[in-house]
Amino acid sequence: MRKIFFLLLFVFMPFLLFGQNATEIVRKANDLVMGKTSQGINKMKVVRPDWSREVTMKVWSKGTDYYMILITAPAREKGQVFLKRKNELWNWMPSIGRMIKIPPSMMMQSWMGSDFTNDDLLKESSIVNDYVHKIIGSEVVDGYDCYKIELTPKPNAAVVWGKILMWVSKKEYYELKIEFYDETGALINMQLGSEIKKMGGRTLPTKLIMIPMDKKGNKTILELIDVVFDKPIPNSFFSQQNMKRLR
Amino acid sequence: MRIKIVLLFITVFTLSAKAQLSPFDYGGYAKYLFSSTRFPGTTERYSDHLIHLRLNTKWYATDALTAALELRFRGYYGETVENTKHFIDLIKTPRDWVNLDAVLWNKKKTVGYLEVDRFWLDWVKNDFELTLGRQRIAWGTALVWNPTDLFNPLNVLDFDYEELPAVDAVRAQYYTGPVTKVDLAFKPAREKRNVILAGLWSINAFDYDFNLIAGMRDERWIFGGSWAGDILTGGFRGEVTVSEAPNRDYTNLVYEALGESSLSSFDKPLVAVALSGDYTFPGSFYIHTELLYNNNGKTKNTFLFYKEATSLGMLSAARWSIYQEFSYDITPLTRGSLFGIFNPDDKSYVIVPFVTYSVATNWDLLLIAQIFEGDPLTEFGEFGTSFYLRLKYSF
Repeated sequence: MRKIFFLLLFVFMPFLLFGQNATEIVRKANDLVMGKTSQGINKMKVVRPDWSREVTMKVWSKGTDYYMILITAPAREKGQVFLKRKNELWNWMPSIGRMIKIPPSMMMQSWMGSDFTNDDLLKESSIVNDYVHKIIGSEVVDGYDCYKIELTPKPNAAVVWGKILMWVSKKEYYELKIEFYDETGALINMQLGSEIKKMGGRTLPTKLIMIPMDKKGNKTILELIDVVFDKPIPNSFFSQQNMKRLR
Repeated sequence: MRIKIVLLFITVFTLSAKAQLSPFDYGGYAKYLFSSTRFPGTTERYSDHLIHLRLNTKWYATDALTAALELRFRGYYGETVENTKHFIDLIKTPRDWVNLDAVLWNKKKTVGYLEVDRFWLDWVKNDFELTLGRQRIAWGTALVWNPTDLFNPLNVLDFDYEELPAVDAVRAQYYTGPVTKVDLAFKPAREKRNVILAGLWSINAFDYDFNLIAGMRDERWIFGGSWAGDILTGGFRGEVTVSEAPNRDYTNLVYEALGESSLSSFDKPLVAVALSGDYTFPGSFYIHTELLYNNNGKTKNTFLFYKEATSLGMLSAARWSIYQEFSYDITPLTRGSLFGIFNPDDKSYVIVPFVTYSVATNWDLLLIAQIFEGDPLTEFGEFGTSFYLRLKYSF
């Protein structure tokens, strides 16, 4: 009996370790770009075959629970602020002096016409906590030796994707490629990380390109212009009072 | 080690240098609006042109003190101007305290009007905020009708005034938490009847925002509450107000001839309820329904009570109003919308289809129609049909 137990343990050990490892790798990759806190300037460019538009924003974050985004360009959107606290989201519209509570059904909408959803930017779901992770191989991406990791949603997680595949560099934990699949297993979006640079005291991919697979010539480029990691931000920073004062 | 410190110093220094923001900020837009209107009972269409300019300026005097000045200019030219008696009175913003506006010209076919639309000073100390001047105090949670917006009720059909009206007031806010506050505001006026004093207390629980309000408006007590949250991920909001019975001995010859009693003579407390629900489907299709109920609202001859309703702080003279909207992003640059407001009692309605198109960065095109239908003297029967085309440049 004992023998069988040890045999079983021996057989399953690598899987247990692998499972543990995979989650740890995703967590490290996620922590690299998120930090405990971050504050920075992002530029988002929506590219379509015959036009493109740019949005510039300042972003403050603390874990996945607290987010604040201030739009600084274009002129029409300038001054708008989004606040996320846990499950709730508000939008401050300074031109009409109005605080609007945003219902969750708006979260899955594209963010200002881009290929990112509100959810992608405001991290409603967490790639660390809402998925089960499994290493399914090793591949080289852009010259970096990467773990290929499969993410499947946990039973009750409120997530959009049916499956995610992630390529994370083994040494540096760069998220170099992510593939998003729907419930039927069709590849919907591909995200590529590039422009690996030192910024905010870390070396990380500073350019993310989101490509919807079914639309040729469409993509959204998210560029990190400036970032500071792990500078303490009190929870009270993420408040409606502060939303009105950001600039 | 030393090198690291030096590097760190340089990093911090450059970051803080980047963080230096100008104490002045400005923005605004220039719009050109073409309109073509046909009033009921007439055969000709009137064509009009409007140049609408806005300049917003802000001065961040210190960390605690901010000042804002926003100017709005409208220059009209056209046939409605020519054929409407005292056209200027229709576009002038009535103020109860100081005007801060100027009629730059007033000719047969053209009018130019400049006004100070916002002008406030804001002072913050810890959780306390004091705002003085022409400002917008928006307490409502619903998206079309806001009975709890006691200070600056708005007109949903005035699509060309995106900023919505402001009010001259003193406002003190104390933030009791990250998303909750106590808000007190006072609007002085030359006429006692136009003075408003009111407070709001907001809390957040079960992922809902709740507000309670109490105040004095139109020399009558008013109490109310509102909420904003979601049901099955769709937005769910509502507002309720109850105000003292106006009980005023008022009538006029028209009311008497029609056998109607005035809204002001209503001898029971006034109740207004707004309910709002919306849902965004994957793929950007958006649906929004809103209801407004006034217990003293009229079920016929509603058109005649419009002005009186406004003076009582009612958002409509009708007993029931139903708003329905559908929107869809035809492309990321083009949004198509259709909304209607229906009066179920007199069967009159307005239907507003519109399309917005982002021509280029900062350039937006709007095509909109307002189709009013109804019998004479119904809520929407007297306004005809208008088509508009607008080009907007934002800076």
